Amino acid sequence: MNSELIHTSLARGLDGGSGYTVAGRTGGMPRAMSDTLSRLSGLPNAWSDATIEEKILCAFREVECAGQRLAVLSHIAPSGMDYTGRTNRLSHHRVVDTRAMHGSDPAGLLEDDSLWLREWIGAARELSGGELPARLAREDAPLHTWERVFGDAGWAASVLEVVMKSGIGVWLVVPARSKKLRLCAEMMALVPQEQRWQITFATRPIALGSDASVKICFVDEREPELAAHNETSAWIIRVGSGMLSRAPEGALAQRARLGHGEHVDVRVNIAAASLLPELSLANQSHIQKNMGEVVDWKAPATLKPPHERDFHSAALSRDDVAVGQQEKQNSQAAVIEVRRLVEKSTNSGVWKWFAALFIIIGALVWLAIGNGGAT
Amino acid sequence: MPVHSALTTHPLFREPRELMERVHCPSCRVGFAPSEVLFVAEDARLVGDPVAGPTQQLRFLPTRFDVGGAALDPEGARCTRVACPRCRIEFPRAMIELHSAFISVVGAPGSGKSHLLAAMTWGLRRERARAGAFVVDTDPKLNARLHRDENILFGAPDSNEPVRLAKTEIAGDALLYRTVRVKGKDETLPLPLIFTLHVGAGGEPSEDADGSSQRLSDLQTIELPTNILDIVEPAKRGASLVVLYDNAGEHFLPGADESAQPVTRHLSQSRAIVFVFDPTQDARFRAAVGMADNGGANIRQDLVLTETFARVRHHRSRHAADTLDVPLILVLSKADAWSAGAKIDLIVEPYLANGGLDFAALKKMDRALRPLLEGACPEFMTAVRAATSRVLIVPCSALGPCATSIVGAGVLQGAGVRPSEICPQWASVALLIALPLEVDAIENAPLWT
Repeated sequence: MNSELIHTSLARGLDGGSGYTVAGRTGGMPRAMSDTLSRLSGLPNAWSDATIEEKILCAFREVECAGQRLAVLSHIAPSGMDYTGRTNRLSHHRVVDTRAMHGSDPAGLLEDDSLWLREWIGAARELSGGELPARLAREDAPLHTWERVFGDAGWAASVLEVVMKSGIGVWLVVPARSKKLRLCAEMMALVPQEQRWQITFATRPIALGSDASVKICFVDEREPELAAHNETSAWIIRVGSGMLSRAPEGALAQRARLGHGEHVDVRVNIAAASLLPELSLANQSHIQKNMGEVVDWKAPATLKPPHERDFHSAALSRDDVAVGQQEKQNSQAAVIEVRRLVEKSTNSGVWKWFAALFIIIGALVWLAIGNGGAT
Repeated sequence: MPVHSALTTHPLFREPRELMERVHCPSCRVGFAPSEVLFVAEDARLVGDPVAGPTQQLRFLPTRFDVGGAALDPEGARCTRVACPRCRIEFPRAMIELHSAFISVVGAPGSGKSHLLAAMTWGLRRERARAGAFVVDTDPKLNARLHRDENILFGAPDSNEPVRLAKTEIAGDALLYRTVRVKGKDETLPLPLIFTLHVGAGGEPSEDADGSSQRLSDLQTIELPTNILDIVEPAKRGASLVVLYDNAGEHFLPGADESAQPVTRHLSQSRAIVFVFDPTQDARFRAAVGMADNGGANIRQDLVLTETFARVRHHRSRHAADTLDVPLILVLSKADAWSAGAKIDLIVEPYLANGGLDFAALKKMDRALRPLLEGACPEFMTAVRAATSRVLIVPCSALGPCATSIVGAGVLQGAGVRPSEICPQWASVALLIALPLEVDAIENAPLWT
């Protein structure tokens, strides 16, 4: 059975305390699990003019509790005022068992608002628990949010490769007002459904290196915690600079752009990837030297077969695609390609050379006419 | 610079720097000698530490130094920042050069600890002449959380836009807590607020009419018992460190002292405990001072106090029958809301005309408040008596005007105060009493009851 716990500020919690306390939890939940989940309940301070939606922390974490690993989904959101008249937040955690992982992915479950409480009404009480519905993140083809935010959906593949290669996790800096959970869900759509449960993430900053840390944090560029760190830190990555300066390429990037092609086993993709020279050469050696306990991420040795939808989408990309569908895909690809060419030429600065040449020629003609008139 | 030249001209060699014999980490409380202190690498390539975390700069025990005495990291960069050898959390270098006094601020959730801290430190930054002492940040970076609160409350004194402080988080706030991995186990530790205290900045000494008052600056000249005052000598020279802790009230509730989150272990070495008692969270007190009882909360604050001193006793390995003599400054918060009903006057603060605390006024206020508490909250006063033998009761209003409910952007925003109306009353008094020099000097005065 899946367990859940609600942690918020009450005058009297389930365990008797006041203030931030357990407001509700699945009956029979061990005390150790309750304490572990309570420790995950903090909400980092946001920048001064952040909206309520921007303050929400959605996270998928793996934490250790009494010798076993728990897969925990957390939705932590501001929740009006508490009994003292001060700002409150409500943390809703769900511990997901292996059965519930079939047919679902973490981002898909977190995107379903109906699964997450934002307000606690009444006294503290035990919850009945129950099964989690199957939820898969909506697969956009191409990855519209990545394309809109970063100009090229292929960056999702590059970031995914960085995440997989990093031994310590990364903070991806995203522009203001980006939909971070959607970015995460779209990136997850690039990997087979089962492997999505191996990539922990958060939509607000979480300190790396602890048990509760994650593989990737999507960090708004206005986050105050970002300012506290050195901009050149290897684990803070930005699209278009540092290890993400090279234009994305490869099958995964192509799939992100065009929305067709097979789901790529990230292990194979990483082996072939030539990205991250800076991290692997400059910093990774130091990190490995200094961090005796850092272990590179490893996917399980035996992978379960992809989800039925994966087969379907993979099949669509092959020769047996219906003619109408293929035309639609081709036209979509052509539009994207034309847009990219226009953006490339705009960004490349070629027009500046043309403008300079035109001015020079104009000046020469004007001088020639002037000299001709004088003689 | 040639070595022989440095030996004769450099101040480092001319005047040997005095270091403390033993230092206590303000985060994990472990004691160590200055020679065991780790340095924080400065070279950008030396990122990652097995205890502090993969995103932190490497901590190392230096073997190479430059001619100025600064450590050199493995890449040759000059390092000046230091860290604890156990938890590897950075602390100010001044801690190995000056005495430190740890002061814990304790109270139930919602009692007003964060507001009080912001108001009292802000007051002591500004009222140098009146208080006879002042504080400055030892390392501003480490007090970032307090700066945020001070800016919210006092940053725009002319503003009419209501402001409020956020509720203190129990975890996850990077400005309040740091998680480190000690011996393969995660530990969440508190980040303290550290100030350098300068004493004797007031005006000329004087006595009031009946001669019973003493000024803070007088205390530099009076003879103090040497057996208990390890802090006095540096304080007399003009500077010492004050280490404050702002925990969430939830951490002081019974059962909240966890080994994975030992955020209240600072109680074991606190020189004084400032307990913030919120009278508005007690229905009987509200009734006693004639406050309207509009469904306010009722919190058992006596349990918080008992739990606090149980931890003090436990962490100091004291026998159950021993009487603790840790000074307890009982601050009755939100006094603007109940002072009229209690018939006490907050307008006149307990300072002498020429600066310094007026002990007679403090004593008078203590005597006025004690019967009120005895009558309204007898079980709380029983817990106080059982806790320690040195108690002083003072009122405090961190904000002055009562919080006003506001409605903004169509959503109830909660209680807030307008910065233009903020006028703290008695806010810095508790800290001044708790400051190292004062605590022991007051022991000589017949103040503690």
